This record gives sequence, structure tokens and C-alpha cells, in this order.
Amino acid sequence: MMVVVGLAVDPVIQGARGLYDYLQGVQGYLAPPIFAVFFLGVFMKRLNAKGCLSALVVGFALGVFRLMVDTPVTLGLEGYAGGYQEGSLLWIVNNIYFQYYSLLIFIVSCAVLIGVSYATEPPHEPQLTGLTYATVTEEHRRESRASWSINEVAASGLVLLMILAAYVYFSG
Amino acid sequence: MAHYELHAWCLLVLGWVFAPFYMRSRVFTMPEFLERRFSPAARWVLSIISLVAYVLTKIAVGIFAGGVVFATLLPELQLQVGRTTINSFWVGIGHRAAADRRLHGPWRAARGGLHGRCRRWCSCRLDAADVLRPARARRVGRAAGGARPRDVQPLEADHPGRRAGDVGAGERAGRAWRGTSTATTRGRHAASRADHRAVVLVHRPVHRAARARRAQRGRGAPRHDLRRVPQAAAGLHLHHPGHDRAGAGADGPRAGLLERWWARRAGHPAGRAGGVPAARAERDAGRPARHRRGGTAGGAHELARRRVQRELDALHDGLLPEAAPGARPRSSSSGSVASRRR
Repeated sequence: MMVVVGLAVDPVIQGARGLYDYLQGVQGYLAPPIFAVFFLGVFMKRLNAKGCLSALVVGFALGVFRLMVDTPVTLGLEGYAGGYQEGSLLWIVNNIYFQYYSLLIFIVSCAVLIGVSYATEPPHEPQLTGLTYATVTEEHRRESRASWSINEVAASGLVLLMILAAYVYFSG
Repeated sequence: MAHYELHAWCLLVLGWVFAPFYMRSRVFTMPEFLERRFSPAARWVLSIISLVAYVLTKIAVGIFAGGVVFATLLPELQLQVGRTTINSFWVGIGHRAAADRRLHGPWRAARGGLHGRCRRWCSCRLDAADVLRPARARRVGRAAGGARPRDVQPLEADHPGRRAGDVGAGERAGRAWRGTSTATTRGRHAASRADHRAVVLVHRPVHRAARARRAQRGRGAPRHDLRRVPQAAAGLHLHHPGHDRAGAGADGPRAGLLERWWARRAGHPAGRAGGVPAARAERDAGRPARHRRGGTAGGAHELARRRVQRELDALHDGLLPEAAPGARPRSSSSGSVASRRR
């Protein structure tokens, strides 16, 4: 079944500006809610299951909406080849640059995550032990501290330097 | 749009900041972490999102890549189902084709799209295509066997703005043959490519005069001791700068095994397709095999030459009357050419 869907998607890739753009686009539309949930979930212990669920669903829906809006235009279907009517909502959605749209999904996901969480009951505290920044125990901290030494720090510094060099080299 | 490698610092953040939480939660997958941090429902939703993303970004792209490979390796492969032409890209992934035959015609539809991108390394392409279209080698043999000057009819330029020298540059190499019907006294026609190298169509073997070898030289006047030295064989040659005279276009052992085999089956005397001359065999006969400095350009040059050869095949395919022995080809066929190309 997945292969059939994959086959059906191939004309979209053909119609896109290139495989790379297509990949970046799809990942940009589907990843933001996941990032929001994982990132904020660690740093804010107040976030609860309902907020997480609604953020995931809303973010995913936004991403799929954009994909569905884009597809007929990419395929050049009858009546869609020239895009949507200028000024309409679908036209706007279709024409936002995909990275801005990713950002939009991320912001909306964060808003929903925080809004819904604070509107509903806080999570059960013992469930979060060791899973958020605020609920890490002293024992956990010691464990983590014991797990790294100067070697790891040096290696990370080296990697950072290499990244910096790469950025400098390719900045021209 | 620097991707992944240049974002390695994200990985460092993951390792230094987030990994401890993931380690403590003792989970193996991302959805599992959501289950422990939030709820089983969140785990389910993330799993479904991941599945969708996987289909869209991994499976679909994998199949697409397979189609690209097919379109590259077998550009001429196509299926006719009813009125729909299925080109090699979609044959490769078993799907219906987008029909761009309106612009290019079925023959060009298969090669119009994707395969032009990797002509540098993909030397097996034409050989592989021969497996599926053995008749092609016969046509090559016929072309090599000496097309008469007027066998090649003028093509009308679809894109007047395009330079005629675009052979080898990509899609529409055929236009470069517009001028080939003008007969020249030397029995060759040339079209220059975008890189200023000429593609020469030699209609029948060309020889030049040279002094006889010392052993055969008599004592008379020098002009009586000339011998014929094969200069260029009939066929289509990419002009190699630097050794333009000695066996230009003689690709010898580089000609695909299959091509040679088909050509031999088709009764081509040289036993080689692609306009490879008997001349080289003639010249090399009785001479110890040695490494020829300069040699035949392989790789990209060879491919470009074969590409033009295929253009000539196209002429023979649809645009030319069969060259019956002794019959005079039609003088002008622009009308019929136009009708055939619709």
C-alpha cells in the first residue's frame, strides 16, 4: 500500500523544481510540530498530553493542507496549471515560501501546545521524573556529569571548529 | 540551504542537552519518548506522522530514483499502450507516462527528459538500448555503409534562435543537421558542436595519397609510387583535435560489444557498428599491435559522437526515404518532413 502511494506521489516529484526542493518542502511541512513537541516538552514541565496531542494534530494538518494545496498546481491539473485565483486563501497558501510556511507551522504548533496545556490540568508530576529539565533529580545530574570528561568536550570543540571552518569556507 | 553536514552543531546540542533525557527515559524510539512524557495517544500520532513522512520522502523518492536510472540507462525504451506512450522512466517504475510526445514525438519523448544529465559516466547506455532495439544496429550499419550526400535531408529548425551547433549539448541535437544536405565535393558534411568541435559525416571512405613504403618504392618518378592511405571511413565522426586525420572516429575496441555483435549479425562488413571503419583494420593489418598515442577519445567524447549517431538514426527512422540502390532520393521533402513530425 505504501508503495502504491509512493508511486502516486512520483508525478509530484517530477513536477517539482527538483528532488531536493521536493524533499526539503515535505520535511519542512511535516517536521515542525514534532520539533515543537520534543523541544518544549523537555523544557516546560507544565505541558500535558492534551496539548501535545492537539499540537501534533494541528501541525500535521497544516502541513498536509499545504501539500494538498500544492499538489494540483505541481501536477498542472486541468484548471490548476496557472495556480489559484490571485488573492484567494489557497493562492496565499500556495505561494508562501516553504520555509516561511514551516516557521508558521512551528509557531502555530507551539501556540497550540502551550495554550491547550495551560487551559487543561497539569500533568501528573511523578510521571515526569527525569524527563524534563525541571524534574531532573540530583542523582540524575551526577549520573550525567559522570558520563563525560575532558575528552568529550575537546571532541565537541573540534567539531564546532570544523563546522565553523566549513561555514567560513562556503560563505563566499 | 546547507543541509545536514553543516548543521552538525544541531547534533551537538542533541548530544549535550537532550540525550540525557532520552537516556534516562530508557526508550528506544521517538514515539516511545512521547508516550512516557505525554500519553500513548501522542505516541500513536507521531507514529502516523512518521509513516506519512516516510512514504513521501523515502519510498516515493526511492521509486523516483529507480525511474531516473531506467530513463538514463534505457532512454529509448518505451511501451505503446493504446494511444499512450510509456517512456522508460515510467516503464522503470511501472507507471503511466506523462505524454510529452506533443513536443518531441515518441522517439524523442523517451530521451527528452532525464537521461541527458549523466552522459559523462554512463557509457553503457546505448549498448543496453541495443538489446531492446536490435534494428538500430542495422541502421547504423547502413549509415556507415555509405550514405550518399543527398540521403540526409534538411531538417526544419523548430527553434530558429537556437544555434545550429548545439549537437551534444543536450536535448535537440537533431537541429544541427539542418545543413547537411548541401553536397560538398569531398563527400563529407560537418556540423560544429557547441564546444567548437566538428561532427563530420563521411559519406564514403576517404583516402589520402602518401608515398609508398620504402620496400615497395620503385625507382621511377615519385608520383608513381603513391599508395592510398585510409584517412577517414564512412560514417559519423566526432572530430578529435590533435589527431584529426589518423582514424578519426575509429573507436575500435571501445565500440560496445553488443553493438559489434549486432552489426556483425546484420552483415556489416566491418563487423562494427557506429561507423567504425574497415579502414583501421586495413591500416593495422600486417602491423604489430601497438599502443597508439592519443588514441580515440573515450568517455564523454565517445558518447557525444554516439549521440549524434543516434540523431542520424532518427533521420533514417522517420525522416528519410529508404535509400534504394541506384535510386535518386527525393530532392526536397520539407513538406513530408513537416507532416511526419507532427
